[in-house]
Amino acid sequence: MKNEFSVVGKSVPRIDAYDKVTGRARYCRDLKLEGMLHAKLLRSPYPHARVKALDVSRAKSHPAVKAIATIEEVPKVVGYWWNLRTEKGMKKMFMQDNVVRFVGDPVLGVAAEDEDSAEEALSMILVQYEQLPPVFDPVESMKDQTIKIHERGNIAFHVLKEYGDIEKGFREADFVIENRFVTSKQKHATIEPIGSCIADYSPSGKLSVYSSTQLPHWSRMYLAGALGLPSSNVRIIKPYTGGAFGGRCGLIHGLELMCCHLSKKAGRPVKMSFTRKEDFEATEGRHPFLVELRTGFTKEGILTANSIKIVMDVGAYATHYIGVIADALSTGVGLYRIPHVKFEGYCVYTNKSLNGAFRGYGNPQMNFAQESQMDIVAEKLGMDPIELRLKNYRGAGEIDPVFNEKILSCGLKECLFQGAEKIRWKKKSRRSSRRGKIRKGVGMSCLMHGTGARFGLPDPASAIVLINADGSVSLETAAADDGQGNKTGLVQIAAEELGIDWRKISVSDTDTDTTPLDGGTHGSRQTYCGGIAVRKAAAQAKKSVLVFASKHLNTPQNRLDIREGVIYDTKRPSLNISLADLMRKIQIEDLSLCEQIIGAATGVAPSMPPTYGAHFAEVEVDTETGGVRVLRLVGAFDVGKAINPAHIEGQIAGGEVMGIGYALTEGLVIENGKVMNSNFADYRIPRSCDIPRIDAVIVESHEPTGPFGAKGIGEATMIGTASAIANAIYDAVGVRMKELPITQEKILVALQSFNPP
Amino acid sequence: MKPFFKPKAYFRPGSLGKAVELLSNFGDRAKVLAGGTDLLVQKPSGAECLIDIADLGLEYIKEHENGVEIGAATTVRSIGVSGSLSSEPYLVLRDAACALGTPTIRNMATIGGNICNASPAADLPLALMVLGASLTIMGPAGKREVNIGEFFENIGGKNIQADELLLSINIPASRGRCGTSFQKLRHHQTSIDIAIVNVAARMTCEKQACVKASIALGAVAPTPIYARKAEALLGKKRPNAAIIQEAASAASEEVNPIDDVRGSKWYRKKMAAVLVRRALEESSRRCGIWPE
Amino acid sequence: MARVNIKIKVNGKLQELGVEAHETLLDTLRERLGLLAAKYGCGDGECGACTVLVEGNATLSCLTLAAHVDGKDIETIEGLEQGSHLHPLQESFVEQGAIQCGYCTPGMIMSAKALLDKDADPSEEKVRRAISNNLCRCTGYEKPVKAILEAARRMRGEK
Repeated sequence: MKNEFSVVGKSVPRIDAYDKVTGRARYCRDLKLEGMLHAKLLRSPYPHARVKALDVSRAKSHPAVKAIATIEEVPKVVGYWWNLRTEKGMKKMFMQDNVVRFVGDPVLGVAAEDEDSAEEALSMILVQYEQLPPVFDPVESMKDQTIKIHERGNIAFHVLKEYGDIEKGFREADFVIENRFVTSKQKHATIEPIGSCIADYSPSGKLSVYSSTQLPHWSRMYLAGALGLPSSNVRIIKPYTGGAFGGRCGLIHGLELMCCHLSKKAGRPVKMSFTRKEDFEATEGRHPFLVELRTGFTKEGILTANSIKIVMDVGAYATHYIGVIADALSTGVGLYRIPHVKFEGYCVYTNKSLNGAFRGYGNPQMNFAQESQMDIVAEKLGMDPIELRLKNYRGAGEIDPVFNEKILSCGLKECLFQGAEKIRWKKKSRRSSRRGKIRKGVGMSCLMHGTGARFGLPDPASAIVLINADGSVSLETAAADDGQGNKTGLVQIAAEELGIDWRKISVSDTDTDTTPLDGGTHGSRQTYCGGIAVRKAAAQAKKSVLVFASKHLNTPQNRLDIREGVIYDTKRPSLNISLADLMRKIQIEDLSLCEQIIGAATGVAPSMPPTYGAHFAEVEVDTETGGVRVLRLVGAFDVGKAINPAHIEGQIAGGEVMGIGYALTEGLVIENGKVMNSNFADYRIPRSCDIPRIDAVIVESHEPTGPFGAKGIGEATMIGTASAIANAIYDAVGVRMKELPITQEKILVALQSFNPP
Repeated sequence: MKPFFKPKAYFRPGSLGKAVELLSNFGDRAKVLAGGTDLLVQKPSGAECLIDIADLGLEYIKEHENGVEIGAATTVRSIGVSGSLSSEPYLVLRDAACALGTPTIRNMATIGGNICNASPAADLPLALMVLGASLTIMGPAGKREVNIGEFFENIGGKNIQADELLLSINIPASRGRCGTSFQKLRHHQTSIDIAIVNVAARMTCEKQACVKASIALGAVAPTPIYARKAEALLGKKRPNAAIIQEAASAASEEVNPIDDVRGSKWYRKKMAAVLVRRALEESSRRCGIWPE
Repeated sequence: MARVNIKIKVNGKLQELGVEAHETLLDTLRERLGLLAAKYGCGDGECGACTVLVEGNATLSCLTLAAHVDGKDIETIEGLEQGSHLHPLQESFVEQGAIQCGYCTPGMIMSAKALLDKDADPSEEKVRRAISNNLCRCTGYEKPVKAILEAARRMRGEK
C-alpha cells in the first residue's frame, strides 16, 4: 500500500501556510474598500417584544450617518438550502416583521463614516417596545399555549420514525434501562469572531459581498432570492476565514442582509464586524438537547430495542433545525444494529439566540446520550464496554436503515482495537479501586458520522482543471477552506490524478463569479465530495492531454500515462514528452490549434459514507473539589484513506480539544434571556496548558466511492469526546454525569449524594 | 448601550508631585493607568483623562532590614521570578503571582493594579494580607500608610481617594520560622481562570507549635477577608490534621459568598474549607511540621 | 481631541505618530501602520490574537494604549522574516502543519518568540504555558507545541 501513490497520503505543507505564517493572510476583518461605511446594529434589550415605534430622526441628522435600515425592511433568514429547492421553499426562507425574539435580536442597523459614529448614532435612536411574555425552557415552550414565539406555534418541527416493532423489542429484552441526558449550548468560539462582511451594492445592480461564509454558492442564492436579483448579479468573495465549525454555515442573523440593504441605500460599500460579545450573545450555537433513552438488551449484551425522544432547543429562529434532528436520527439509529427503534424529536422555539449548524450537527448531543447509555448497559452486564460495542455495531455490508443504503466501508473494529491498545485499555479499565482523594479512570465511546449530505439535501460539487501552456495547472473550485486545509487536499488529489508535482497546481480564490457550483464546506464533505469532482475534472483533463500526446508521440493513447509531469509510453518510456512542451505546442506554438486543456466536472457524490471512530479518555478526578484533569485522549478514526495525514492529525487533535470543552467547561449560561458568560473569561474553551497529550490513530478502510478511498473527518473528531470523558469520570469515581458541561461543581454534588459524608 | 471609553487626555507625569497635582485637578474624572489589564477591559465610560504612572520609578523590589518594599508599578511577572521573594515568608506572594492569569498577562499586570482594582477574587491581596503588608499612599497632603487589611471596602471599593496614588507595598520581615501557602481553585484545576475561591495562609512556628496563623480568603465575600475564628483555633498548638480540619470548617463558616456564573454559594463554602485545609497543610509543611 | 505624539520603533523602523489618548496599540498597528497581522479576537486580552512583542515581552496589544508604549521597541510577525528567509518558528509552523485557520498564528508565534528569545531550551510544559494566552480553536495545540519545540532545536543549531 505504501508506494501506491505519489502525493496522496503524504503530509505536504499547506498551500496557504506561507501567507498565514507571515501575517499576509487577509481575513474579512482586514479588508477595506474605497468609500466604505461602517455599520452597527441596535439590538433588543428584551427577550420578546414588539417594536411599536422607532424614532430615528436624531440619528439621521448625525453628519456621519449615511443610511439606516430597520427590522421592518430587512428580512430574517429562517431556513437553509433545503428551502432553495422550490419556489415555495424560497418564499418560506425569509420572514419580516417587527417582533424581536431574543436579547440581542437586531432592531435596526446604522451605516456611518466610521464605527464610532455608527455607535454614537445608535444611542440617539428611540425605540418603543411592547414587551411580550418570553419563554426560555423548551419543554415549557412546547406546552405553553399562551406564548407564541412564532405564529404557527412553538414547535418548529416534529419527527416520529419507527423501525421494527418497539414493543416487541422491549419484550425480547432481559433488561430495560431508562435515562435522561441534557446537553449545553456550545459556541463555535472561532478565534475570528463570527460575523464580518462587506456588502458593495453597485447602483448598476451588481452586488458583491465579501464574507467568510462556509457556503459561498448557497449564500449567493439566498441573497439573490431575498433581494430579487438574478444570481449572476450576486458575487460572493470569501477571503481567508478564521475558523468556522458550522458557525458560518449560512447567512449570519442580522449581518449580510443588513449590510446589503444599507449599502443599497447609501450607494457605498458597507462593512460590519461583530464584537466578541455580539458573537457570544447573538450568533448561532449548538442546539441544547434533552434526550430520553429507553433501551432494551439481553443478558448476552445484544441490544433489542431503543426508544429515543429528543426535545431540541432551536432558539428564536429556526435555520438548521430539520437537518440537525435528522442527523441525530441517522446516527442514533444507524450506529448499532438494533432491530426495534423508535425515534421522536421535537424542535422547539425559545426566546434565546438561535442555534444552528455546529461540527457534528446533532450528533455530539445524541452521542453523549447514547454512548453514556451504552456504558450503563455494559456496567449492568458486567461486560467490557468495547465488547458490547463489538457485539452490536453495524458494519460493512449491512444496510443502514435510515437511508436504506449499504455500508461499503467500516473500520470501526480497527479503531476500537488500535485505540484500546494505545491507551492500554486492558490494563487501565475497571480499576474501580475508587479510593483516595485523587482517582483515575478510563472511558471510551464510538461514533459514526456521514460524509456530506447526499441522502438528505442538495449536495453538489464541481471543479474545473485548466492546464496552462507551461504545464502548470489552475484548479477552480468553490470548495471553501475555513482553515481545515481542504484546498491543499484537493490539490493533492488533482496532482495524483494528473501525474504532476502538486506545487505546479494553484487553486482559485473562493469567488462565486469564477468558480462553479458547490454545496459549501459542511458535513465533513470537501475531501470526499469536492475530491470526487476534482478527481473527475482532472481525469477528464488528463484524457484530453493523452489524446494530443497520442498524436504527437504517434503511439496508442491507452499506452500513455503521465508521471512527474512527463507523458510517456508505458511500454517504451523513452518515448515521451513533458506536459509543458506538449501544452505549449497545442496552446501557442501550433497556430492551427491554440487550445487549452480544460477538464470540468459537476454533480453529486454517489454516496454519503459514514466515517467511524472511537474515543478513549483517561481522567483524574479530585474528589474534594470535583475537578477533572484529562490525562490522555486517543482518537481513532476510519477516514477511508488519509489524503494528507498531517491534516487528519490536526483535525483529530482540534476536535478532541473542542470535545474536552464540550465535556467539561463550555456552555452558554442564559438567565432570563441574558447571556451571563459572553467572554472567554467565563466561557472557557481549552487552553494549551489545560489539555493532555492527544494521540491520533488513523485507520484506512478504503471507501470505494471516495477519491482514492477517502471519506470525511472534520466533524467526527469531536463527536464522542464528551461521552468518553463522562464514562471515564464514572470509571474513576462512580458517578454518572448526565448533563453537559460536567462542571466540577456538578461532580461534587453528585459525589455527595452518591457517597454522603 | 455600550459605554464610551474615550478619555480626551493622556498624561505621563515624570514626578510624584506632578502626578498628585494631576490627580487633584481631575479627581474622579481621571483614571490611573498602570498595566492596563483591568482598565482596558473595564473601559470606564466616565474617564476623561488617563494618568500613566510608567515614569514614576515605581517598578522595583527592594530588600531591606525590615522586610521588602515593592513599587506599585512592579509587574506581576517580576514578583513571580524575584530572587528577593524566593524564601519564606514571601513564597505565598510569589506563588500568588505565578497563579495570576497567563505569562502574557503577568508581563503587563502590576501589583498596584491588582490591589487598586479591588476585585473580591484578586490573588495578590490575599498573600499581602497574610504577610501583614502595608500600603504607602500619596495624596495632596503627603504620604500615609494603610494596612492592607483595612484597604478594601465593599465590592470594588477601597480606602484610596480619587486624588491619591498608591506608591508602594511594604512587607515586614518575619520574626520567627514561617511557612506560607497560596491555593487557588479554578475550573477543572488547570485553567488560568479567575478564582472560584482563593486562599492564602501563613503560620509562624516555634519548635513544633504554631504561635500565629493568618488566613485570608478571596471570592467568598464582597472583599478579601481574614478568617479570624479559624486563625484563633490554631494558636499555640502543634498543627495536626484534626486541628487543621477544625480551622478549615470554621473558615468555611466565616465566609459569605454569592451565587454567580463561576460557582454557587454552596460550592464556594465547601471549597473554602478544602482550600483552607490545603493551605494550612502546606504552610505547616513549609514550617517543617508535617501534620501527619 | 488632543493627540498624543509618540515615537515607537516597529519592526526596526522608527515611527512618529500622533495617536488618540484612548487608542490601543492594536488599532495603531492596524489602522495607522497597515500592519494587519495582529488580530482582533476579543478585545479583552483573553484570546491573544493581538499579541505582539514590546521590548521583547509578549504583550496584548488590545489592552495596551499606544501612548503607553512611547519610546518602546515593538515587534510584530511582519518583522520576523530576514530578507526572504522565514524565522525558524515560521518555518517549523509551516513544516509541522501547525497552522489551520491561521487567525491565532501571528499572536501565537510572537508569544513563542518571546519565550525562545529568553529560553533556548524550554520544556514542553513551559511552551504550553508560554502560549496559554493564545487561544486556538482548530489545532488542539498539539502541532503548534511540537513546532515550537522543533524551532527551539533549530535555533540551538541542532539538526
